[in-house]
Amino acid sequence: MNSPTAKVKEKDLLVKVVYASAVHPYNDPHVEPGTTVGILKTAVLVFFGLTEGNRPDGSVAVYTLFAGKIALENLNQSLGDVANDAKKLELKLGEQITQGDDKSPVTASDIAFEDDLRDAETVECAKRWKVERGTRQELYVTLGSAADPQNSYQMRLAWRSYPLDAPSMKFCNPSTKSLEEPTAWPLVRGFRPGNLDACVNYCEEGFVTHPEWRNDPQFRWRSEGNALLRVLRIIQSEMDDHYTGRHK
Amino acid sequence: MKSPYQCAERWLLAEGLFDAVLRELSIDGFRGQEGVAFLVGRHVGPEAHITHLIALRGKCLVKREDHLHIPAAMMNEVTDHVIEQEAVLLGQIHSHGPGYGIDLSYPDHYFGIRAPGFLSLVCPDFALRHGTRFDECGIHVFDAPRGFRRMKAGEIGQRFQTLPGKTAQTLIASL
Repeated sequence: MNSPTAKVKEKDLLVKVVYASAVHPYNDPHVEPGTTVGILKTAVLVFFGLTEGNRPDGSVAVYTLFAGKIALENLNQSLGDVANDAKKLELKLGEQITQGDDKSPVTASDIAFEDDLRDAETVECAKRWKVERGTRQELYVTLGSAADPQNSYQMRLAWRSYPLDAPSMKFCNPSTKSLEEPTAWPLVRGFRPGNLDACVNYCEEGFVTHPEWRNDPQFRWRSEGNALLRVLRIIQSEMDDHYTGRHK
Repeated sequence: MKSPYQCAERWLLAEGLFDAVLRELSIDGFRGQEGVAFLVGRHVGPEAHITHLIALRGKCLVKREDHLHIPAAMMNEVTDHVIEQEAVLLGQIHSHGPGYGIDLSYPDHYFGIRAPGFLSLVCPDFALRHGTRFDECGIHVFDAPRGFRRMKAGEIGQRFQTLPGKTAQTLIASL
């Protein structure tokens, strides 16, 4: 960032940036402390031959500088501020990687769903469930009742925008994944196999039947915490305590 | 300006590396989703010795049947391992599900790491098929400035060998 003839100042920083797939780091021993993260980032990307921004398919390449574990996301922050009186600043360049054919962007809702699913799979009661992934925020969960260990049921949970809304809950034929079979449903409080829905406040169908629940403090959907795990636990509890058999 | 990258003529794989790769990718394969891991090692003359596998754990990863998303913060964790090993990130391997083939998809070409000489491998069948061989993977190398190019069988045979006397190690990057 300095020309060879630039005057070296006593307060200049030595800045080193490592990019993991390069054998040589970016090194500049004469960086003015007032230089911003944004200016450094531009120089670093040029050095490593990287381009941030639109790629041929219209997506966006994103690179971030890190100081230790801290992402330097404020591009106006000065490097002197980042260095905090140190004379040497060692940074890393990280990049966001997306691969696969799914063209739709990853949303915060997707990430929240993935995080909560991962946590849900580690709890003790998850050993009673067989969880299969559907598309995006969709799960097929096989579960049963402690009162009827010989029978199991497969349920599809599908969120539109996790965890802000309640999931659609349907029971399905495990072989065909058909959601149109009343006999796929267990008989539990609020479940209406004949209507292929449930009138409960932990699924979308319940709020369609009772829109007034949305604003009722007693029945409203609760999005805080691990909503996915909470729904699974409620259903498991209902299956264990209020199950009366399979719908015929 | 001197290039910060080095392109290997040959890649030598530590013993057990590919078995470790299959074990790692199959964890996600059993869940019906793509898995991913990174290949790390050092350049030794014209060779690159791949000695470490970095597996990813924790939140913020998005893995689906046909989609992977790794945030920059996770790549920062990977970089910390690379620095600690005084090594270089030499490649990445991810899995495709049955029927998805072993070519890089269009987004794979543009969204992965695009560094000269960088390897991008695609393991078939979610790495669940017993006895999958290394040369059954789609092996791509980034030939700047054109981009990733899939190697043919003859080239794979010539440019990939085993690194005798060195056992592969798996490192975990978690966030």
